[in-house]
Amino acid sequence: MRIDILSKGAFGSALVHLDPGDEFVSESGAMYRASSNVDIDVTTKSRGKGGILGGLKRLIAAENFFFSTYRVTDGAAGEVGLAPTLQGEVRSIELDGSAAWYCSGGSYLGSDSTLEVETKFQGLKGLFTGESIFFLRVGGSGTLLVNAFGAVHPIDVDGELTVDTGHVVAFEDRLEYSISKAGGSWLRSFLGGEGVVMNFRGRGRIFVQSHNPNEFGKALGQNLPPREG
Amino acid sequence: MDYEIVARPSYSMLRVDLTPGDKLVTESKAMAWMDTNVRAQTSTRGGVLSGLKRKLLTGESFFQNTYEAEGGPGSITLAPGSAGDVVAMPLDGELYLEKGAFLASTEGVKCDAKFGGLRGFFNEGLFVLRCSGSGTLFFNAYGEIQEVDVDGQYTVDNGYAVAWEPHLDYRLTKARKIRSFLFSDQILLRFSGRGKVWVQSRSAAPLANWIHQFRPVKVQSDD
Repeated sequence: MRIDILSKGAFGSALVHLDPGDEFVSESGAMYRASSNVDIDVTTKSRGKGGILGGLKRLIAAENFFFSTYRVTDGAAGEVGLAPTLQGEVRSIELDGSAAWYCSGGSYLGSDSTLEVETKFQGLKGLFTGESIFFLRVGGSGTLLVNAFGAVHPIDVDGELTVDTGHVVAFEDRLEYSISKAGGSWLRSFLGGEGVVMNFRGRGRIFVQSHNPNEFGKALGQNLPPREG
Repeated sequence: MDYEIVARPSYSMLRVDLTPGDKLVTESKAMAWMDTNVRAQTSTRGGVLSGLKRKLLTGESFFQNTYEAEGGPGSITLAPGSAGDVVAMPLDGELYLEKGAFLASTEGVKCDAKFGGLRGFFNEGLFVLRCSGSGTLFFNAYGEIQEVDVDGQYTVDNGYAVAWEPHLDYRLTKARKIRSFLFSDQILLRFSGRGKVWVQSRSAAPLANWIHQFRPVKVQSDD
């Protein structure tokens, strides 16, 4: 298997070249092009956790987290193209088994089927500010594809770093993290307009994104006519 | 006539340098800036019926503008409505464009609405744009435009196809073995034969779906 990242700027996407026996998984609906010998299997299930309950859990987490699995059927090589919804970069992360990665819900594009993908919902804390904080834990060896809203900026943390949750793309689980409000108290945080932040501690790598999708969504959404319920 | 496509693929614009006698036909809202030697003529091009067909059936504009340089060379810059790529293609024959993809062409290219078959019924409108003749055709899309050589069969998600050569056949299929009961099926276009398809790397419909969650919620009233 070989993965080409097409277009480095605002419209990044990934072209995954599959050999017989390879399997690749993506967020369902991310496929926009494929050779005809690629079989697309949509399930609520990746390796590890899944099934109906897993799917509902993902639904509750406000994410369309059904997965598609791609494989070639006819013994020849094939390809599948994966694209995110928003403008921004696509990056691949190689996992060698030494550390798992946490990937924010909106940043997961796809992964090798050799990787195990589990949903982690950081529910209550996030609900107070109306922001859903939702992560996928990806472990094992293989390639993980992430997408960002805007540009991706990798940071090697050695010590401590505070990142607004809306700017977190993915981070290594060797980092410890806690979630807190930016303004010191929930009220001050609410009034000051700052969201929820993640405080990272230790040594490890984080990918951050230049723009916060929720802020963009709010800026556009308030200009749209109200929806029913 | 010289042209340059700048800022590809994210924020592409098309600059065309016209010498007197050159004519450039554009989508009517595409002109962003031009110098004083460039003159515009607005017409329905091909007559009222052709204009109406374009407007009603493909969502392209009723009017197309024709630009010419007078009294010396002139330069015009065209900007598509959405961020994304612009492709220049030498045309000698026919090319099908998804609605909204036409940006400009030289005078020898004509664009007309064509029934796209039932595939359009599901998403992108019943009609596609048929561009024919000889000259240069410029088309645009939301996202990067990727050229795919089809030899046999190739699958493109409906909503990501921008243009394709007329001798390719296509039919509508659904993603196989869908076990997801909560979400709508993915509609796919299956091209077959030998030829080129141009695919865009983003689609407006998923973005609109995503923004939907950020719309204010209507307040229920009792009256």
